Amino acid sequence: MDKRSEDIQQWIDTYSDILLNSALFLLSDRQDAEDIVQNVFISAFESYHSFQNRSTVKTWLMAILKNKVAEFYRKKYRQTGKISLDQYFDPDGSWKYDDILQDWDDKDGNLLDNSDFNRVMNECMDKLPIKWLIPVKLYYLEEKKADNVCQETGITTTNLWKILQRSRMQLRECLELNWFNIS
Amino acid sequence: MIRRLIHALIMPCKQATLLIEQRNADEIPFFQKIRLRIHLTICKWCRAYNRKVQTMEGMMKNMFTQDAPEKFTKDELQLFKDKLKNKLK
Repeated sequence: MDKRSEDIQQWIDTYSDILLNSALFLLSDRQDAEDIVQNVFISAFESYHSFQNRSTVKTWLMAILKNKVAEFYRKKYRQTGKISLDQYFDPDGSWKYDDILQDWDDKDGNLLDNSDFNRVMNECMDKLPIKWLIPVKLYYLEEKKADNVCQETGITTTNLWKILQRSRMQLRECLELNWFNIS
Repeated sequence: MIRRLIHALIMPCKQATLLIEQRNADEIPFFQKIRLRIHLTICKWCRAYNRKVQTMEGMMKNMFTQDAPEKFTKDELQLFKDKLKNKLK
């Protein structure tokens, strides 16, 4: 076996876990996650010689993964469809319901360390339609660099803001329903 | 009544909530930023929403600094590795 094959075999052993879990986090579909991670390793195999230890192997593979997810989105979901906010706002653009006024209760201030809460948060994220979920996750993964996300996914900036706004509304609603008990 | 006035003079809540996203990314144009600030000063609905958004930003940040949840079982991972290693020999 040559050096390249040896390295790849070892990388598959070492990094499959983190790549698969990250891919599932980004795509929330197991089969898509497996397919994409397989493509990540195939790409790594093919472009092995362009990897010159400028970054760690893990960073390199994660960057390939991110690109593959964006490419997957571009091919499959480029048409974002109409993003409607009608369930939250009146035709004149005012809030429909007053439940927005009830503040969230985090008296102890340690919500983020609460594993039950984090599970609910993840479940609420996963309830977003996939055509919104992927850009939202890429956006946070890339530390809110909207231009990058738009370029990679082929979404217009206008639509990205709308997707973020709409997803936020839904996430808030889901958290209030399943955690904060506001209705 | 006052809500109508806010909308006529500054902007509707529907637009303010979009600008909040842009502001969080530091991508909001200067005049929009001022309009948003005025809107938030007079609109208690959007002010409450804005507080929730800031809390959610903390949650998101937290979510993305942690490792992804481990949802694949040991067996699934092993099977995946074995198949792929065979393929890329």
